[in-house]
Amino acid sequence: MRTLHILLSTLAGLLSLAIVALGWLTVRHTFLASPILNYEILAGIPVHVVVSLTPFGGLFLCMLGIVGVLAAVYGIGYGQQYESRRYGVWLDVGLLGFLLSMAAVFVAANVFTFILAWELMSIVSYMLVVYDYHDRENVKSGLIYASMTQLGAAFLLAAFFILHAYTGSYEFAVFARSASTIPPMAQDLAFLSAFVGFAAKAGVMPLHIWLPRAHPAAPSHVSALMSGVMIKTALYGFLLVSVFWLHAPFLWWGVLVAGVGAVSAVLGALHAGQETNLKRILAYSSIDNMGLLFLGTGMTLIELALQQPVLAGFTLTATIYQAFNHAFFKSLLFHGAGAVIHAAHTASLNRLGGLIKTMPWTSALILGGLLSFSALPPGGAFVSEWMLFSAFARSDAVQLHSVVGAVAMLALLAFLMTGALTVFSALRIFGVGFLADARSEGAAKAREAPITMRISLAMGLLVIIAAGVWPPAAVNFIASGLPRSLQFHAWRLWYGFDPHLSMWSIPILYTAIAAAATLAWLLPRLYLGRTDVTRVQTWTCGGKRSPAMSYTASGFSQPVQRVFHAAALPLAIRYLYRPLWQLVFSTTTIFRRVQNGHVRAYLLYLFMTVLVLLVVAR
Amino acid sequence: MREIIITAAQMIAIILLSPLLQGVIKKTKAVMQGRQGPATLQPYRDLRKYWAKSTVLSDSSSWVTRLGPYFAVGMMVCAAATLPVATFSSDLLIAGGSIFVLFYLLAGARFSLVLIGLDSGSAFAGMGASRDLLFAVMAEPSVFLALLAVGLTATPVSLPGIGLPLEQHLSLFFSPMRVLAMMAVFLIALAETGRLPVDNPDTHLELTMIHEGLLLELTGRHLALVTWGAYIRQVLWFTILIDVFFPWGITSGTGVMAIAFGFLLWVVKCLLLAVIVAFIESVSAKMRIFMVPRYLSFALLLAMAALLADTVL
Repeated sequence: MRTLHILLSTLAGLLSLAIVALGWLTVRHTFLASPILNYEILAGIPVHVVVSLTPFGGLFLCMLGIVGVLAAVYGIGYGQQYESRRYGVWLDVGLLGFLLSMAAVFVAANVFTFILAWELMSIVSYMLVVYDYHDRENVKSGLIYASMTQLGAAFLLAAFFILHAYTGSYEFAVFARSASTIPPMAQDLAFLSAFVGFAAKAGVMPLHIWLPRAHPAAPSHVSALMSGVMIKTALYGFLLVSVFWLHAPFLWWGVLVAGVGAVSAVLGALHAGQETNLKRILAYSSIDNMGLLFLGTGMTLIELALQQPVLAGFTLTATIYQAFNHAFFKSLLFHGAGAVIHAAHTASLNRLGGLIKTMPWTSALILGGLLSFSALPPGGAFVSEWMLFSAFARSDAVQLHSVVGAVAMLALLAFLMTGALTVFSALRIFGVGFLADARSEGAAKAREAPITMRISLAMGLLVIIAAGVWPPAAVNFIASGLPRSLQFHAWRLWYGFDPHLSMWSIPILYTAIAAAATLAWLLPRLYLGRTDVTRVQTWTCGGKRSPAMSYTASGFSQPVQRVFHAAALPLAIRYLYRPLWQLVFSTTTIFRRVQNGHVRAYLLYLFMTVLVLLVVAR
Repeated sequence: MREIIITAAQMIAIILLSPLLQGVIKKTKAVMQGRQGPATLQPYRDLRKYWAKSTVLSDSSSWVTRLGPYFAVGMMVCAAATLPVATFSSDLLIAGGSIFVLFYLLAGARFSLVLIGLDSGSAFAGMGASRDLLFAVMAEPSVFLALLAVGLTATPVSLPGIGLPLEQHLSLFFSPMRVLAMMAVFLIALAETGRLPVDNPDTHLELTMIHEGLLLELTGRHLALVTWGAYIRQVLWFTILIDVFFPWGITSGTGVMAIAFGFLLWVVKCLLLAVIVAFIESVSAKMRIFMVPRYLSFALLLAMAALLADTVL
């Protein structure tokens, strides 16, 4: 069984590598752009499977493949904890299916294929979420996830049918050609349905309730894939509908999307700073990052509506770059969290601590991920957030004397607020969970994660750094997946609007930091020599120290919670979900009268049905 | 070659001058309180003393404490290299003087400091870290917005881009957005440098200190580096204020005389600011910790008003 597990994981890794290669080729060489598969399932019925490789889908294929490789390598070691369940062989099969279905979403070229892949992805991920079904809580989380994702899918179908009704086709190629010519009212409807549908999958507030439940419930490399890539399928789909097909004709679309994104970003970051469960913190931070991505999308839509393709292209590139970086660091962090939970048998920050001594490698790699999480050098997120910042600031400057300028200003405020709150949660995770002394027996007895898991983490860190160290390459790659009108030219490189930057700016900056740090260490050492090191107990005003004296995660975030308590109101639960539940319950009580469980009643129903059919159909 | 020398000179000027300003502030405060106070050069002597001491580490701490100070100082020094001191020539600055890079480097330095503090497991460090970050969450967006308000029309949004127009046209100084933004940045500079009324730099009373709490477990070279880093941060904030709101005398070229003059004026302006800060410290009392968010949200409000003034006027 163990051999089978390793074999399946290797297969998943190879499949992911193939996906990366495919994505790379698609972006770099457009000769693959025509439909490569057109398969008619039943003759005469308009249900075809159409697959084509577009450069834009290729970008996301690359993202999927890279995270997939990391997850597959990680999965080899992760399977050990499922020794009693055949080393998680079914988990590996599910992982393969998950990878394939996500890849299918990115290559789907008509409505049927897209919905088929989308639903497969949802079902497979649902089954992976409830893989640890012995825990009742996980089953409940899975149920909430499944219902939310189906709700989203219903809206997506509505959007596609509206587009079909006016263009008369189910092909994406036809949508791309003629969707922007349909009546404005229909465009609005299609846009709104698509927005709701994709927002539910993306976990954007207020449709986020499944995300902080489902991501912690799933096995860690599944969480990594869900958080890293699956929620980006929503970004992919939404960009496809709003930018590629409808070309964002109206200003209010962008304002709406940016507003929802901004709220989601700030509140997500705020919640991430309050949770104590490691994986829930990461899940909330995914909500905040999806918020940022939707904020970027919203600004892109605004700029498109205002006929500023240069700015729109820059913003869109920055947004997708940020999506890539989020996928990379979030998968590393989920992998790391899984390793920690596996070793310490607890996910609560309040019960961790001291892991930097018991799990030095894992801790150091997680610290690297957290640096990128906080958008600090040397992660790729530093560059992409810089680009987003320039894009928003530029947008504010261009629309200075109109209302749109105010939108850009609020976008900036939300962006900066999120950035600061993210640094706060990163420090809280590492400072409380990994430094100082262990607060529980589990954390004290934690041992280093299996070697494959550490290898996956190290590979993840390499990817994170590689994504940011040479921005021109990354940005040009992303830009070549965009529509031609939004693509970059040589004179509009990653630094956008700053003529004083160059392609060397980032390497120079990183070298300067490293050089300054080295000099600060080296000079005193050369001139003053080494110093003696004595170890003593931490100062506790003279008493005996206990690990409980260190700040807990709850205590650490108390000031922030106290200051921002007004922002943490359960509005979504009170005004959206609870009324909806009430509606569902009250309608079901009506229908329960029909379903009374008496055989005689059901016989009566049958009899009446037959009668009605006889009368009607005769 | 000359460019590199000027870049290095600007950076080194900030590094070397920073303890002096600390000394001037302390001396001014002492004089205002009717004391003689420590010598103006005392911070240099303190640093020399720390360098020579051996290291005492907490037995709970890890390699984070041993590496952290170097990264904190590395980031701080690079942040210094993004600031125009004597010349506004962007090509001489790291990342062209981009304000994003400047503040994210400062955030990076803060990241190291907080980790060093928490590494010892000291409760005082936890308290300091948690409060410091609370203020950072509110201060960081405000200062960005305030600087954007005065720099929006400049492309790119960098310190030279913001300061140069004012240097050339004095009348810009009296525009409402610049006044509002100046107030916002000044309020935040006081908070970020750990000055009264937000934090008391002279306190060693465990329950009230914020920045001090993080450094409580540091000794020897680590303490020297981190203390020096705090001095540098102070000068960085003074220089930000000078670049953005009082840039006269900073040249836009690279002529030797002009740059020498620029350095001289910068020193004078820094000293003036130090005296002003010391004066404010002497006449104000420390706020209750949960009053500080109101103070900071006032700064945020000013910054947003400045941006709105930009939009409306």
